[in-house]
Amino acid sequence: MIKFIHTSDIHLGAGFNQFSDSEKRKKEQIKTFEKIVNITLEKKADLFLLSGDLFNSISPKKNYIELVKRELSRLLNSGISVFIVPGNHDYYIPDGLWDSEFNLENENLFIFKEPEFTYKHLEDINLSIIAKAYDKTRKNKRLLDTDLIPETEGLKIIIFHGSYDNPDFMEFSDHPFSLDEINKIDFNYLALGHYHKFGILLDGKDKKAVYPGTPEALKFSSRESGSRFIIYGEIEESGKLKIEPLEIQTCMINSLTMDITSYDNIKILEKKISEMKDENLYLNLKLTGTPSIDVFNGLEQLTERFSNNFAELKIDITGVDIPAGISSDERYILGRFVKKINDKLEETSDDHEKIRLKTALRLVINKTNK
Amino acid sequence: MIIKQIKAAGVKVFSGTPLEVEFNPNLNVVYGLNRSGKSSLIDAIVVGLFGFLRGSKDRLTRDHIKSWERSDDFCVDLYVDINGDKYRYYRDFTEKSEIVKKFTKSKWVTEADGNKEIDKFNKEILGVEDSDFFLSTACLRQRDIDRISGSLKSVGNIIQGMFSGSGEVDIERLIKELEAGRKEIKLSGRDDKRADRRQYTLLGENLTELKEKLDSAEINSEEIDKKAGELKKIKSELPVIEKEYNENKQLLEKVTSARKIHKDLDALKEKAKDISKRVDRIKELTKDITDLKENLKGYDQLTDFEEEFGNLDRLDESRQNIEEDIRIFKVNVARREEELNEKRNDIKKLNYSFFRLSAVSSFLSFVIFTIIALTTDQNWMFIMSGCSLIMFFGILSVFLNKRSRFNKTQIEIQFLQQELARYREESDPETNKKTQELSSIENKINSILESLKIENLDELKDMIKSYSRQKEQLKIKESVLREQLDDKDHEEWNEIRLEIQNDIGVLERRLEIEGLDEFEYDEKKINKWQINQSVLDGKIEFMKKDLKELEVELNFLQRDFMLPEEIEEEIKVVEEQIDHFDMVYDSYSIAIDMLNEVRVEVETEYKPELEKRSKKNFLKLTGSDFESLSLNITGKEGICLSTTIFEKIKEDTLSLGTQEQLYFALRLSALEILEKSKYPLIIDDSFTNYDDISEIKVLDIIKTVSEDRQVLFLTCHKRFFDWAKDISKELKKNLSLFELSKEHIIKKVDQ
Repeated sequence: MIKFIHTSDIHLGAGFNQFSDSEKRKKEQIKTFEKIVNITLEKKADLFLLSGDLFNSISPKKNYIELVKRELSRLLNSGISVFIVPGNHDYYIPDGLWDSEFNLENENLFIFKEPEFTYKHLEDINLSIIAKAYDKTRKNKRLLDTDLIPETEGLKIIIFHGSYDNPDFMEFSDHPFSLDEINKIDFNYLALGHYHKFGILLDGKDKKAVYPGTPEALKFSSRESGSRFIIYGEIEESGKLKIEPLEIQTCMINSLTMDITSYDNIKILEKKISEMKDENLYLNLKLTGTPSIDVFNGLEQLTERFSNNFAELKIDITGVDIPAGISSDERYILGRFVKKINDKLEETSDDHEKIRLKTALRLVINKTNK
Repeated sequence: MIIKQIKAAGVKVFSGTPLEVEFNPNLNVVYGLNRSGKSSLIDAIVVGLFGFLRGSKDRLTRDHIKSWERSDDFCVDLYVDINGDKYRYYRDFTEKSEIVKKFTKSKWVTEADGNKEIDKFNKEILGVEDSDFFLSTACLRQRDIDRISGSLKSVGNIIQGMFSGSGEVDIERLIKELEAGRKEIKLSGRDDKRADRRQYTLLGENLTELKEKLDSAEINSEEIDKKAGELKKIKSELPVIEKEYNENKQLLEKVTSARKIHKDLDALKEKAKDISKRVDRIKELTKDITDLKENLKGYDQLTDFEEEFGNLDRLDESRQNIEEDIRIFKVNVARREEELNEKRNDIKKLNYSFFRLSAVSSFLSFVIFTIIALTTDQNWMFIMSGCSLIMFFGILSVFLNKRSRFNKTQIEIQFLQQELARYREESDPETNKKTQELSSIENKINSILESLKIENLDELKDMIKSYSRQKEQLKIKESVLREQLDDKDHEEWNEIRLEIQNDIGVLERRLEIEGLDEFEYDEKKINKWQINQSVLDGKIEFMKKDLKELEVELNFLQRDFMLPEEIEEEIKVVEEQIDHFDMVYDSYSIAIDMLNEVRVEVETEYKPELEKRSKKNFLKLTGSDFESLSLNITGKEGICLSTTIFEKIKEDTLSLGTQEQLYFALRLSALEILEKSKYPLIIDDSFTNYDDISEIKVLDIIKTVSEDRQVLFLTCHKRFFDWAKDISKELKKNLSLFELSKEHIIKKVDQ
């Protein structure tokens, strides 16, 4: 039985610009990478598969290169074979990163630099690793258009960095492929990379295709929200394959949308947020709906109130509608103001204008309720 | 609206004893000392009508209203008449049941259930949806009065607050705050020196930088792709050319190798030739030497005399020298003798005796002639004597000359004779010795010749000459042979010759086996290879240079390179932030513009009416009129007042009492303008600073007001309560009096 760990899209060196404390996020990312290596060692895996974008760029900072060298050495020193495919972020350039920094004299480290499929046959376990580097100059080329997957003996693992040709998965198309296309290829395990969310494309008894997703989220996006995984897999000689996603993230990103219409008072909302308290959670909370005035008036203070309870808390209240109970009584200046805002809101179909109007209202309401 | 009845439990002070009061539809005066529960009563009414105030921290919140002591119940039950209809507000805060019912067809029918519905109902029916609005219009509280801090401006602010829709909002201040808030977001450099430090400015700068960075990253990215492509191409081509180069190089190496072998071969052949020659020469020399040695055997006898050969020559030479010496000696002697003889002959010729005789004769003649002449005296005899004298002298001189020459020669002969004698004396022994030597030498020679049985010396000489020559030849040949042998013997030389022959064979076979023959000779091909080699060499050098340059360039391009996608993401984040700031900025602008707009509208709409009513109410209240009262409902000016009384007094020096009167007049006017249905006027000890006359006047107004409006007048001053008692007869059933005990028990006072 052959054991492997499959990961991808770690993006070491990413800027984490969306986060207020990007340095903290960078440290968490490094921690996760070290964790992946630790798990690989604990599981006594035979193979370590990295399907692209280990680095966020073709010229990562020295500390990241040193980190990767150090961690890979730990794997290699334990006799684990490491297979790396350059991705669209750390694509292969002659004499670039992969040549100059990872030209390690180690027979167990394989970096697939060719833009065509090549393979490494591991005699002792009768398994071939077939892979190709991301080809920046021909990124629109389909995975199977002209590429011939070499004929190999025994078990087959293919490593590939590209997009599953399905709008639900990918809005961009780098080396796209369809399910039909990969169904036609012969393999036991297709170790995919590029898509940042864990996803199993094929789940046959002896044929599986998996995107492990990015192990530590890079930004607030639905694809990178929630638990992050690496894949632990076992292939029997017969080809029978068992995989297990292992939760890996150091910190989790979550983007949630919460309709606060039904919350009568701010305490209920506060309780809801309180329930999510997690110092390892980066929460992007988008509030929608039409709250009560009480809730509405308390929205501005929410972020400040709970910011210590989360790794980072962002509350987007621009989507919140004007509370139903707010006076638009024209006898009063504020009521008249509210009425005008409401009238304009009805007039306009421009969402941005709507947000501006709602914010204008919120600014005034908040100032009158100090 | 008329508040008919209130029942409350668990509200503020009303914990032990529930509150239960039925109010008069007109004037109600509630007397109670401090902390008896007057404010709690008002709060109970307000909370009953509008529920808790949400979004506030210190007023009318659940925590604020809930009984200060433990109480199981927490509810307000309020009966009101609105526009002739009966309503019941029932709020049980413990059960969380809040409901408004309407009495229709002798039944209580639910009109609004739950907070939201009640809010909505209140808005529709009362035109007020929360307690703040109600309080700011219908309630005159001590705390409002407290806010009048000695300036008309604060009076104006409270009135403005009423119109703003929230009791505490000063629109002017609100707009200012909004403007300040907007300014916090973005400022132009003109506005503020700190503008460059604003986050918005920094973001803008950041964005510009990022965009520039993106431009260069895009260029760099393309450049990297291009250079990487070129590098890849060269890297794939280089090995091919290097292979060709190496093949060519191998060919040329073969040529060199072939040439070297041929050169070696030629040298070996030359050497072989030399050695053959040497071997032949050795052979020849050996033979010559043998012959010579054989020849020289004939001269064996000479060997003993070899030493003498030189002597013989020397002897012969000595003999010849000696013979020459003797000959020279003899010649010298002969020459000297001849010379002597010559001199002897000379002396014979020099015989002077004749002249001596002639001289004597001539002299005698002279003497004779002279004596004759003298004796005879004949002349001619004198002439004869003269001639004889001249003759005498002539002959005397010749005589003298001849005699001197004779003497001299005589001496020379003597000398020559002596010299000859001496020479003979000297050379004779030498000549004898030499003659002796000569005979000895001749003897010696003769003996040698005799021993060799050779007849003469010349023959011997020839013999010796030939012997010496052959011996010399032998010597030379032996030396040449030694040279040729060079410490080896003939056999060895033969072996060397064979070895070289063998080496030649090996090289020739190598040429054959390695097929190097053609490389040596196909000059055309070699030439082509050589040209090719230099072309390829140049090409490789060029490519390697390119490669190195590309590597350097790529390295440079990759230094700190960020993917355009990465920068785009960063730009996106910054743009989102900027957009957010812009959005908030625009929102501020909208809020400011709209508030200004609304302010103008409200001002236009209410100002004349407010001024009119205020004037009227103030007159009623103070008995004095003011010429004009100008109030900007929304403006910063607040109230501008000019009265007949206060004409010379600055507004801020108005007494507190006058301010309160003015405030009351304005409040009442504003209430009249703003209310939808007639609200009860709730007065919570608002006239403490009034003078006695003003007090009477305000109480009078209250009385007047209560004619067509429910008034709840809560006071802690006995004098007001007494005043109420005084007017009870007049008002009769239009007045109810209540007393609140320290125990918070409210009791209706019988009139």
